[in-house]
Amino acid sequence: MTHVSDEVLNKYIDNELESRELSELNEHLKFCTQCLSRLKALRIVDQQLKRMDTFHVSADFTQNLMKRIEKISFHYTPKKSYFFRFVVASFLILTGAILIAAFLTVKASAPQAVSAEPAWYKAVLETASAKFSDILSGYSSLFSGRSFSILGSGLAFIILVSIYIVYESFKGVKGRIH
Amino acid sequence: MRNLSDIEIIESVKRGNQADFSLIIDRYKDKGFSLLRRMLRNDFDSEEVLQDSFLKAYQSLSSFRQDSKFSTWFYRIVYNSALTFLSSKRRRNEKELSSLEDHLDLSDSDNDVYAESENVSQFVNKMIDKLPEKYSSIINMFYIDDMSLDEISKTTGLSLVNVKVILHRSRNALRDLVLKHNYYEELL
Repeated sequence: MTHVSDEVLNKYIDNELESRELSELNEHLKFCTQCLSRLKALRIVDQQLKRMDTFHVSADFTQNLMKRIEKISFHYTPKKSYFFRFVVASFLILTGAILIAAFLTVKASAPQAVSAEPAWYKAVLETASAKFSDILSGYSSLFSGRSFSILGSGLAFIILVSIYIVYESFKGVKGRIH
Repeated sequence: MRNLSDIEIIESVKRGNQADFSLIIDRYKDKGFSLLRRMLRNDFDSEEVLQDSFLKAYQSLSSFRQDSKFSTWFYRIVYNSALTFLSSKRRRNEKELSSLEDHLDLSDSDNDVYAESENVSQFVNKMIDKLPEKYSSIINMFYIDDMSLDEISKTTGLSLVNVKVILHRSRNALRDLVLKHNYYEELL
């Protein structure tokens, strides 16, 4: 007669047997007193281990340890995430640049009504507008035809990669924010 | 007052409430001590290593990232400290610690323990101390600390399969002794 393996008996003790294995074991135990003894002895061991002694430290353990800990100065300094700061700063700069460009464009295309704006304000606005146009004119070829498509694709790719990296590092960043 | 979770206590300690660390000590001192006592088999050494483990945990709180349970992280410190202690002791006295090896043979000592024991409970408790350190520590984590096999694997650095094999071997060895000394019949 083939006896039940130790592994199966241990799985039984840990409630890891599937219903088919369980019914096969029960069937076997009806006729095999040797396996039944092994299982009962294993159960006794399991029950005794559950009631195993817990050891206790001396009564003044916490007090003595806290005296040692009080001598240690604890400084929790969260690690700085320069990557996260770089992404946030880049995003803010880009948003600011877009807002300024939009503001200047709208202002330039608006009808020149008689306004109560002071002369210095108009002078600053015109100077800024001229400077911005100068800067943009150098890159105007980038925003036309084929170059625009390549630039757009490149930017989209960079944005997607950045989003992926930010997403991947999110767990770590979340921990560091605390 | 409601029971604070480990994470809440740790956050409080990180905010500068150093005294709150005593709550963590009180929560884990006896469990940590039981684990060490079963590995080192000596009260004095176990208490020393436990103190060092708590100090290490306190000084490394900033590196605890909360992606695992605090108990698992702390037991890993305790377990590794015990292994370091045993290794250094072994270097000092090569003969004393042959049991650090994984060889499981209880046949040398079971008769003496049987003679000293009044019942199966005493016998099993004493025989656990005769198991190799790795075996008795895994038994302790599984039965006293209610750790899952996966948590034990993470704590000890052993594979899940190895942890299971060690647990089963330990139980089988103790079961064979229960049968050998007829405790089984006494309990029927």
